[in-house]
This record gives sequence, structure tokens and C-alpha cells, in this order.
Amino acid sequence: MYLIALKMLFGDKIKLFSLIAGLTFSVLLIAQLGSIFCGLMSRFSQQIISTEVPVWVMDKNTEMLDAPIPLTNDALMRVRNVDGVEWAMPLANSMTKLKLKDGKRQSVNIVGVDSSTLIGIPPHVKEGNIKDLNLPDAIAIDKNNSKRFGNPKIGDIFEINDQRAKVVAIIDMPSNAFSAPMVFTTYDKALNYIPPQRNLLSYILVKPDPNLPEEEVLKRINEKTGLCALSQGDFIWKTIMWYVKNTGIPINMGMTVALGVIFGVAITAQTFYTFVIENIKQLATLKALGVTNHVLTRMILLQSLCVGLIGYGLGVGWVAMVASTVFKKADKLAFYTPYQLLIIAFIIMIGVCILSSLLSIIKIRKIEPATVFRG
Amino acid sequence: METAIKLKGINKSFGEKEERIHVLHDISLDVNYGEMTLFVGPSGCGKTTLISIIGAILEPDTGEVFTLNNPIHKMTSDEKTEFRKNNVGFIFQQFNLISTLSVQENVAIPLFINNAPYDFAMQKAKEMLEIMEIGNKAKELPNKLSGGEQQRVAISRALVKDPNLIICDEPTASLDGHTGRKIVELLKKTTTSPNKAVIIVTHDNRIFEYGDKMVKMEDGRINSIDKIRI
Repeated sequence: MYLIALKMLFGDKIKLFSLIAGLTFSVLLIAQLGSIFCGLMSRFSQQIISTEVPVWVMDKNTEMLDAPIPLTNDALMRVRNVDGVEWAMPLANSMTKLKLKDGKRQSVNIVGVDSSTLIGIPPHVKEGNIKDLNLPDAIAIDKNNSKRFGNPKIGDIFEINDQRAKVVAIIDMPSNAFSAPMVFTTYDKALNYIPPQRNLLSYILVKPDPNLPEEEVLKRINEKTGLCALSQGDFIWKTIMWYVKNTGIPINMGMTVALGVIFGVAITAQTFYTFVIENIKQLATLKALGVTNHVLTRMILLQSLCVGLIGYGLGVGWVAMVASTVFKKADKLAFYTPYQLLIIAFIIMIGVCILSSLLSIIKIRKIEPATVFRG
Repeated sequence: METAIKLKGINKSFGEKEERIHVLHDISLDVNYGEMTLFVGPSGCGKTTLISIIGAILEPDTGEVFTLNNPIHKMTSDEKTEFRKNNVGFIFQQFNLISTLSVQENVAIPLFINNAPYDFAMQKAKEMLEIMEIGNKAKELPNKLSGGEQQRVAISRALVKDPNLIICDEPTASLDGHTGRKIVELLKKTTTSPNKAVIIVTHDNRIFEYGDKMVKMEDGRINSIDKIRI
């Protein structure tokens, strides 16, 4: 009878198409809006993601990436002296103005890193040689914001805080959500570019001893330095949660996503329920001929899961296609599809299919087979 | 002759409270094996309700139903489904063929329900369609067939598992006289077996001559039960 169930499903091309189209659209809504949401969220903490450093140490009162509370210069040594720290590197992170070739000013986020290791600079260099950052006045800019610098080339000269700054590398990293374009340089040069202030050390980037649990190293740093050490993941979440709590953007975006999910769920449930209701006469006939409610239930669940999987595959395929074309070309658009989102979309889709099937099954179980004698 | 169907004091109503309609009033009836029994009467007199109760697809409010010696009125819903699966072949006025399945698959459904292997069921269905002289339409979809052909498919579906009871609701209503008679002749053939019975609800007086017994109904009551003599 399961083969019959599938033939009933696939036999009516128009109904099948509308059913799959509805399900595909639902998955599309869930996965695409979810991806945009995740993309936007990840951009709030893009610098943390791009630098690929496992532990960030900061002042206890630092609330998020873009608002560091400067650390005293001895903080770096105190962290390096903690047992279980393999290495610790300084990171300066501060806003200033860059003078463009046409004389206009552009706000930039100066990131100063350790000159010997260059730890803290995203690894994907698009043009130039990152090691040239050790040359006098050398800076690297991020490619996705190069338009805001007037599309500079390697060798172009700018002024930052009345200091000469020469572009030696262009780095490929996804744009931050709202912050200014990034300018990377070595820590010592950053001190010249950043307007004078008492302390300039924003973060300390740490690699824990691989032989120790990361949590243990974090605990030791916290206890011995009085600073706050966070894993990369925790700092990402801390930054995202700051935006969630202090701005309306994630909530508004989340509501849009939630609306998309609700809409998708409604479409799926309605479409499948309608499909079953339109077939009610045929199902009643099967019941009259001797098909039990249990078998009918399994037949409907099979149909439902089958269209659910097809709809899911097409919806996710569509999202992947959109991601690899539209969003890839448009660097400024936030789009990130973590595998967890696909799992969530899958669970929602299957859950909705089962739920709408159950509604249909309740209907079918109540049908009197005698209805087949009514015209 | 042995009794195939025995009804005792059947009552059936539909609706609630003031809107309640009493459809069957104290119906008692015996139908014998080897007989083709025709139920006739004006629309709304309760014929279809009665055959639904006989066929174990509707429960009476009160009364006893023994179909093929099985106490239908005592059965659970699942037991009735099992009973229908094993014993009853239905032919509906609207044919009720599944539009997305081929003619052959439609005929094979009762065998699939009985868990027959796919190839076996399809082979048996083909043989039945050959008997009904529409073997050449086996691969077609039902909506490509004429009304007469669809009714023959429905009859093939009813007969394919060789049931002991065949229940037909207006089997000739949408057919021309010639096709209608041919179909009733086919049904008549099945009742030659002493362990089978055929029940037909009809308004079509062209087929009265094929019946063995005629049950005349009016307002939910049996007016008369007559033997038909040609």
C-alpha cells in the first residue's frame, strides 16, 4: 500500500507541484532569512572570527568588541606569566580618521598587532605581502571596504593622524556590521596613528597550552591577572548579545525571521492539509475497501515525509544557489548559513509535515467509510 | 437456501436533537446465498443507508446485523475493516476509482490491501480486466475511459479478490441500456455460486429482470419483498 501511497502522491502532477512549491518556499523563507540573520549576527563580531585566535583577554568591564577598555601595559606581561599560556600578543583597537587622497576624512578602526608574529591579522591576504607591514608607515586595509578608501592600490599613500600611511597589503575579510573600515598595522606603528591616550592596549590575544583544557587556562588567567579571558566563541556571543540587548537590530531582524518561519510553517501545514482533504474521497474509498486507520496513517506520513524531503532539498538547494551567486558577488550583504541552521530548517520542515499530517490523519480517522456511497 | 444476510430490527438516525432524521425504521430482512437482491424505492428512502449497514461501513443505532454469519453489530471498527477486506466487494455509483493510479492498479487495490505481492496482484488484476473485456485499457488512467468502462473497472475491483458479498449502489445509473445490462449480466454470473450473494440498489427498471428478489422501500421501511419471476 505504500507504493500506492507514493503513486497517489506523484500521480497528480499539479497538486504535487503546488505542494512541493509551498514546502520549498517555506524552507527558502526559513533558511534564507535565517542565513541573513546569522550573517548579520556574525558581522557584529567579524574581527573576532577573522583573527582566528582561541582566547581573548580584556578588561573585566569590556562589554563588546568595538568598545574595549584599554589595559595597562603590564597586563601583557602578567598574562604571559600565567602557567598554561603558550603565547600572548597585544592588540590595539581604536578609532581614528584617515585622510583620503581627495582630502576628505574617513573614520577607520586601527588594529595594531604584534610586529614579529602579526597575530591578530586575518589570514586571507588578497594583494601585497603582509610581511611588509614591518616596513615604515606600512598599513593593510580590508578589501571589502576599499571603496570607502577610494579603491586604493598597493603603494598608495594616506595620512592617519598626520602620519604617513602606505598600503602594503589588502586583506580579504567579511565586512563588519556597522563599524568603520579596518586598517591593520603593527602595534608600535598603531601607537603613532591612534590619538594619544594613557593606555592603548585593547586586547591580549592568547593561545593556551594545547596540553591543558582551555577552560583551565581561562580560569588561571582570570584568577592571576584580574582580567577577563574569554574563548573566541564566548567573546563572539558576548558581542552579539550586547547588540541584542542594546540595539533593536537583532530583535527586529529576528522578528522578520520568526515571521518568515511562522509563514513557512503555515504554508506547509495548509498546503499538505488541503492536499489530504482533496484526496479525502479516495482515502474514504480505501477505508471502505478494507484499509485500516493504521495503514492510512502510515500512508499519509509517508507522503508527507516524501514531499517534505523534496521540498527541503529544493529549498536548501535554492538557498545555496542564491548564496553562491547573489550574496557572494555582493560582499556587503550579510549571508551566513551555519549547518545548525540547516538542521533547524530540517527539523521544522519534518515537524510541520508530521503535524499537518496528524491534522489530516485525525480528519481521516473520523471519516465514515459510508461517505463513499454519497454522490 | 442458507441465509447470507440477516437483519433484525435495524434503526438508524442522522443528526442531533430537533434536526434528527430517522432514516431506517425497524428493518428486518433475510437475504440468501446464491441470490441477486435488488433494493428499489424513491430517493431518500434509506436504501443506501441500509446497504452501508449490511456492508459494515455504517453502524445501526439499534438492531442486529448478521452478514455472512458474522455479527456485524458486535464488531469493533477494526474488526469491521478486517471483515470488509476479506468478504465484501463494493461497486459505487460514482465508481470511486483512484484517478492517479492506472486501471490495473485500481483493480489490484483489494489484493494490495490483503498484502499480496505486487506482481501477483497486478497479474490477477490483468486477468480480471480480460474477463471484463477491457484488458487493453489496463495501463490507462481511469479518466481516459468511458463511463461504461470505468464501471467495468469498478466491478473488476470488486470481484478481483473473489468476495462472498458484492454490494452495488446504482451500478447502471450512468450507463446506457446496453452497457448497463451487460454489467448486470456479469454480476449475475457471480451469484451462480452458492456461497455468494449480490445486493444492488437501483432505480433502473431495465435491470429488474436480472434480480432474484426485489425489496421495495419507502420512508425508511420495507414495503414489500417479492420474488422476481421472468
